[in-house]
Amino acid sequence: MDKHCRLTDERIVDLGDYTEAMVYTISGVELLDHAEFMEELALRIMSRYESQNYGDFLVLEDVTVEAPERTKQFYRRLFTQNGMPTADFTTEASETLCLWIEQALCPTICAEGNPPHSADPAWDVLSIFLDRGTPRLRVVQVKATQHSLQDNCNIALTGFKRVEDGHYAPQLLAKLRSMQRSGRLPDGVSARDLMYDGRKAYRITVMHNQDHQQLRMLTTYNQKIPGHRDRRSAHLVYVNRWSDFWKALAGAIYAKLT
Amino acid sequence: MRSLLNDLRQTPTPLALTSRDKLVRQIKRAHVALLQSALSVHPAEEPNTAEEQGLREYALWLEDAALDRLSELDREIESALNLSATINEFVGSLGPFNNANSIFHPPLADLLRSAILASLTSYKAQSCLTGRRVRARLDQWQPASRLDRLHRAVSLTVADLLGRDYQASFTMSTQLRALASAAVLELGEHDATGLEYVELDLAAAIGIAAGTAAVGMLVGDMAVVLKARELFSQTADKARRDGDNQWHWLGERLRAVTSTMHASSTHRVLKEHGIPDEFIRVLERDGVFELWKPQLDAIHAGLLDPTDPPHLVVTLPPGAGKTLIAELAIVSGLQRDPSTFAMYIAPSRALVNQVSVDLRDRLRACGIQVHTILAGAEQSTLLGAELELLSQHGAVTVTTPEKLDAYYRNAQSIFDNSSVIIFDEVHKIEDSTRGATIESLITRLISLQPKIRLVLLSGVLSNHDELLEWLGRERTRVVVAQRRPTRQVRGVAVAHAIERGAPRPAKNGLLRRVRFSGGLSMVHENQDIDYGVVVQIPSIFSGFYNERLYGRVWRRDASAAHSTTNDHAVTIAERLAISPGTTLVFVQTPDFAESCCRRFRGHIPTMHARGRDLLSKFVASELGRQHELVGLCGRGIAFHHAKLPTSVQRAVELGLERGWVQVVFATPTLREGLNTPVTNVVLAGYSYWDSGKEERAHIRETDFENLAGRAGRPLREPEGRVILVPDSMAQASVVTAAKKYLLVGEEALRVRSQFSELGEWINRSDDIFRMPEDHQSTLLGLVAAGLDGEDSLRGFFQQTLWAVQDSDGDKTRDISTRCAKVIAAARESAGPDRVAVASRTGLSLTSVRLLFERLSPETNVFQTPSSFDERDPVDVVVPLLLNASLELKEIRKGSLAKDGPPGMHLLPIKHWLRGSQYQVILGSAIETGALPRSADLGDAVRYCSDVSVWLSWSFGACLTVLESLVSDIDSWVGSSPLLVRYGVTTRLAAYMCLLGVADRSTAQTLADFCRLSIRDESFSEVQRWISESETIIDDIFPENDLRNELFRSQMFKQRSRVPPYLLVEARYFTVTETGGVQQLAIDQGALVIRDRKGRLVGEVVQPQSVFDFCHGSLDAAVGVALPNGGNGAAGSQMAIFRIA
Repeated sequence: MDKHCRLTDERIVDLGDYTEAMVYTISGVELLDHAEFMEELALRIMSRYESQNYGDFLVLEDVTVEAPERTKQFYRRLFTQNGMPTADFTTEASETLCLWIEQALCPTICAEGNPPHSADPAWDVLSIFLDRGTPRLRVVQVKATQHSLQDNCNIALTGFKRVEDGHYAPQLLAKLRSMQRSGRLPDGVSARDLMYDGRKAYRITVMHNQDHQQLRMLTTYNQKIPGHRDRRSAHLVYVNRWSDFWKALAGAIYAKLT
Repeated sequence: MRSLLNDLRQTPTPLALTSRDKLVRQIKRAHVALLQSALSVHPAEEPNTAEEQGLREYALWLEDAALDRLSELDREIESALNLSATINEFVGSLGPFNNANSIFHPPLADLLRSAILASLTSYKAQSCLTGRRVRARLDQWQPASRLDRLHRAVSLTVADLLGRDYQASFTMSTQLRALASAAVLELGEHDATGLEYVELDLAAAIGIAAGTAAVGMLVGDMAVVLKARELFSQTADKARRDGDNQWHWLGERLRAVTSTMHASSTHRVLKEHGIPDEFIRVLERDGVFELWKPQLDAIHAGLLDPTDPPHLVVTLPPGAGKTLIAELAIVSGLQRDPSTFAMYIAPSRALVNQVSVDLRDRLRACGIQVHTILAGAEQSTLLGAELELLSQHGAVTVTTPEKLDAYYRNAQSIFDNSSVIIFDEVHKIEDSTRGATIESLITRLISLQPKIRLVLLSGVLSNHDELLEWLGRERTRVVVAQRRPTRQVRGVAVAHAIERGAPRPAKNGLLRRVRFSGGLSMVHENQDIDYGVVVQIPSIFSGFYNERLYGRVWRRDASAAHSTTNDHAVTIAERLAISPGTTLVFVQTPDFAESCCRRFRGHIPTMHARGRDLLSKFVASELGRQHELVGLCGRGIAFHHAKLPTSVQRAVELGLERGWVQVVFATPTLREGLNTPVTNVVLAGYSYWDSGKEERAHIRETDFENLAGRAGRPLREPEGRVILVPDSMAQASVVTAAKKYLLVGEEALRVRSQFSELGEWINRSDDIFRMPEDHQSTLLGLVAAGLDGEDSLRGFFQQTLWAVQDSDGDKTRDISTRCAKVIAAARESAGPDRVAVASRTGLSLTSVRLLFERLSPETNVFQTPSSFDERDPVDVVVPLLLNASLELKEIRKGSLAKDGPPGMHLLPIKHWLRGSQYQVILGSAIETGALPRSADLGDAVRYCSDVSVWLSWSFGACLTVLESLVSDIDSWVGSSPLLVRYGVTTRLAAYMCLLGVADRSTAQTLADFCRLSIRDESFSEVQRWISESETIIDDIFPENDLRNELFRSQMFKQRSRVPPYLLVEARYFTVTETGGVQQLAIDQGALVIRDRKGRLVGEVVQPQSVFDFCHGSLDAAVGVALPNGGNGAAGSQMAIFRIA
């Protein structure tokens, strides 16, 4: 990612009091035209998709979940019969891209996404960053939308509000503890302290195809997530040829399936 | 709340909380925020749910921090867990439900977390409540999809496990596999992802593990409980691997809960200590599957030691499990040596009654007879029968200290054969009138019956170390707990927002009215007070007083009009009545209780109509239809004081326990009799009229603690409240009261020996006749025990609590010497025979000498053949006994202290003895001058109470004196102490009362029925008849008569007798899965066992018991395999359940 893209400097958006940055390509050409980028993203999507669970159950009997394999059958949720991308594909791809951005373009010390088809309610990626030497948690949601930027941002904000109100606190803590136990959190970073920290940060990463400068989006960000502006941010990934981008990405993956 | 939360948010985050002190301090502060909101009584003030956020996060941090240190569970960790449980319960109760039915989303998630955390602390009662609230919510959810049905069933299984409704949890879990199969089909219909199957599998696994834990606890099979713990562990691990955070979290938490369940399992712990299965089954029937921490502490201290159990000093708050500790001491003591007997000493008749019911209900299952001797110090011809009953092998007798003292004076040697004696409310040692008797008794027992084992129970004493020293440090252990099973919040009423009116001319100067608003200043239990946290709740009541201008200074004029403590208490009670629960308001006098009740305008929910109707009818039958209590009971409020007949007092107590009456205004005398917890206790003032000392006095801290201890109903509410309304709203008075009572220190709860006063008297004079009567009696008690020589007395005094507390060895030596001299001198002057007689009566030697003088010339009247064959013995005997009695200083108390000829009492006492109504007794007492013309029914009740207590004692002493003078005492004379004690006409009715029937008219009715079906009118026959009368109560009293309910509650507990499961022997052909659910079927005449896949795995050895248990229908029955099955060997066990 960092070979191809950068983030613009953060700008302050007064309405909603948050910071905003955009992903742009270093070369100035569109993402779609970066073959190497598209290939690596395709591989990342496949790797993530194939990491989903299968195997024994504790209670269920006579149920088998198919093992991951690079077949059209196994990838049926991502593609239509004729190899076109489904809504699930967009979701999987955007989540993968979001994680990649957090890992490669942001000064995070650790970032982790959810498993495919995850039921975790209000975050797609959790990243840990240093704020003047103190590790903090950032809860990231990703949205991919061609025309409904405002609506999707509002949905994400509602989810963030619930996280902020502690509605999903046990799940979030369990996730962080799981990362800590398996050594995926850096040494000295405590899941509990990340969780309790009153300055948890939130970010919405949106892939879109709209002129967002003309839109009033995330206007209630500071109401849903109160406190210092550092807590609220948005990343925007503008995809110019929307359909072509997804078709090209889908095609790159579909070509690898038997 | 907002400002406190903001304050909380500004304090260091846990990142900076490195020291435990800081952590604990923060915990308290968070708790304060909750309290203020929870106790806010402003209906208009909606809680700000946005503020929940800070609490949730804080709770989570605390929860996680505490769980990390779970292995070192101490006060601080427990406090953190408890706080977190409280916060979760609080935020879970705040918000609307919004159709959220998932246990992973608020509010159910909050409640579930609360129940889990409470399960890990001493507040298990809170977990039960919260778990049941989750169930109540889930019961309203009727999901349409099969997947949701599975999730609902899993949630219910978990909620019931945490609510300790193990049977419901297990029953629900038996459906999980079928529901999971249906859900799998549903997933298949929409080509679900692997993750969806994984989640379904994890949910079902958690549910099955919860059901397994439930069945393990239910049947007491720890292998099954451990299996459940392993299942939780496996599920949590799998969820972690699968990235399913919510099931991972729940699995881990429930694994911790199962560990604590295993550690505290009643079955496991008691079986390991050899307690009989029958007793464990009774506990199981009552839902006691887990021992609470103080009970485990007592067991670790040697409560069930099979060889040489120590004495135990147990200080637990009310409701924390003292009764079970006592029961275990009795069971293990009698099991250790079945040829011994046990005793339970309770300080009041009401408590004797309640304890007897509790013990009888549980102990008879293991063959232990429970006898009740409901009396004071009076003696009768029944003494021999009572002693026989008392010393019956394998039996326990519940009685008062005075009665035990009487037995000990008359038959000390039988106590050699006593295995255990339990003294309840042992802090009564501090009591100026009874303390010396109790201390003397305990000291006599430890010095003269060294094999006996004592268990001293109290809720409020602090000087355990001195008691340890007293009973013998090497042979005594102490068990102390400060936490109640429900939290308790305490507060003091304070005045603020003072507004001074304009001056107005009045007699002798200017006055101005000062109005104020009253609020509460609340604190939460002692641990929190250490950190000085207080919650202010303004504007609950209002009041006023007047100030007078003295020169140029305005000062409060106490003689001018002002609102009273009672006014404020009534308003507070009205505000408290808005929320659910019961409220007990203690006022200082019976008149105050009645007037407060009249003024109460609070809203009482219109429920319990049948109960209130029963209560009203009963009160009307006892006091007359016009009595104001009749109408009040119908509204759900009542008053309770000593001027009500015992029967009505018991009825009001029953009404309070059942929730029929929601607010009761009572005098502090109720503390002696009430064992019923309430939600709120309000104390209107802290001073009272001490009739003994004839002066106004402040209630003692121990008494306050005792009263306050009633607040908080375990398993019914999460919190109890105690509110003190000071005598004055002046700030200094409020602060003093709060410091003295709410912040009561250990020194104030130190129990002090009352022997020092005896010592002072003995130092003053060698002449026993110059000593006060109560000290004479104490001294004579020692004589009765054979402690009359200098050496034996020295041995005795050196073993008293007094000697421990007053370490001057020379003093005890001197006292022993002087005591021996006093006794020798008494023998010389009064004669050894009279000293011996006096020592058995409990009266002073002065009084006994007087009785000898009065009765000696009249002995022929009392002998058989009686001189009153043709006349009513009441007319012949009572005047003589009465005349002699009223000359005794010990007896002239209360209504009997009134100056006048003894004859004025004769007529009302005759009516009392003939069972007349109080109205009739009142009329006759007014007519003869025993009561003033202004006396009312309450005065008559109190008069009868005085007659009952004091004259029964003196009539008993007269009997002892007469027996020393002549033989062949007439049987009516022999029974007269009991007849006058209980105000009944026949000996059978008196026996009924003696055995625990609290109401004289009920006793009379029962006696009439009893007479028809017993072989003879002996005490033991009556006792047998009562124990077997449960089946015929409905024939004696109709169901709509409260007497029916009262008698049942006094004699039998109305608990479900249906066993929840049946244990049968099974022969397994293959090794079976521990805790696995199995099906039963008939196959070629045999009752076979099939596993969940339908495979034949074994057969039931004795099928008939299963058919009987299932009423012939196997469809609704399932079995659970208990461990060690397999290989075709018989001897394995299987638990059969009926599944609704």
